Amino acid sequence: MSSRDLSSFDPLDRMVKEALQARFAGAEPSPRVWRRIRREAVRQGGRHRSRGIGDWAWFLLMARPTAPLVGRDEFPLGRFGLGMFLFPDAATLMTLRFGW
Amino acid sequence: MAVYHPDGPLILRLRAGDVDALGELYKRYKTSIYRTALAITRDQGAAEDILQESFLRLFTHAHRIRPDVPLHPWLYRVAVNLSYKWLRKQQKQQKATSDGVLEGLAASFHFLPEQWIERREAQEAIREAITQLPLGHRVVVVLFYLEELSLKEIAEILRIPEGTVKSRLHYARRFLRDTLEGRVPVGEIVYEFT
Repeated sequence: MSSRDLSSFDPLDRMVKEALQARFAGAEPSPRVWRRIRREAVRQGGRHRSRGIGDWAWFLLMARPTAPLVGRDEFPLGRFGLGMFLFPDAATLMTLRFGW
Repeated sequence: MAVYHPDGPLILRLRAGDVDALGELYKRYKTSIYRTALAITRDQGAAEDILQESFLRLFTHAHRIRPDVPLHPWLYRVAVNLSYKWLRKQQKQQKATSDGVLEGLAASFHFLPEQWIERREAQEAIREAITQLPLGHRVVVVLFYLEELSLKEIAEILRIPEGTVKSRLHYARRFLRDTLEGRVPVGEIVYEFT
């Protein structure tokens, strides 16, 4: 049972609920709270997910272009460029670490 | 592992340190956690600190949180425990400076002017009366009336038997009725929780 199920004619329940909801139901934290959380999470080693690129990016990367658009020689280079565009963090890391 | 709760994928991402997943969960639960902390502590700064600490704990302890069950009971529990901690600290400090804070509050409540029957003031009277409840009872009242959680959910959050939730609500209602009688039209008890 929750307070949603209470009989609406009981004055005490109705008034307690109204009193709490009138004061607190619309309460929102200030935006700075999230900024503080994010900053601390990043400080603790958290990271952002490749600037909003989702799982769909892998499908784009794996898709084969139609033949007239890209020649066989240009294909790997084109893929690397697309990879750099979609996953800049990972690509930069690989470039620096492995000298790609 | 089977993931069948909507929070599950975000918790899995949190485990990998994904701050954006934390942001999604924050958007989802910030309001309910914040207003619960605010209703218990009645201090905006404390409520924001509690909200912040709750989500940082979520981030830190994500590996210990099950992705196949709803997240909100865990978050409520952390926020309630932090609220307890904050209030106890406040009570100690107030005890050291002035022993009569609650007595003063109660006294001012007993000498209410007649215009307190106006709606807003009556609501404030009720909220003041709620602050006079023992802490465990106040938390149950907030979760039940403000968050509209079920007795079972409250029991799960507070890790106490459902019967204890019922008895705390019963006690709280009786206390509020006795305290408010003659000042606010609270009526008679028409049912019992127990």
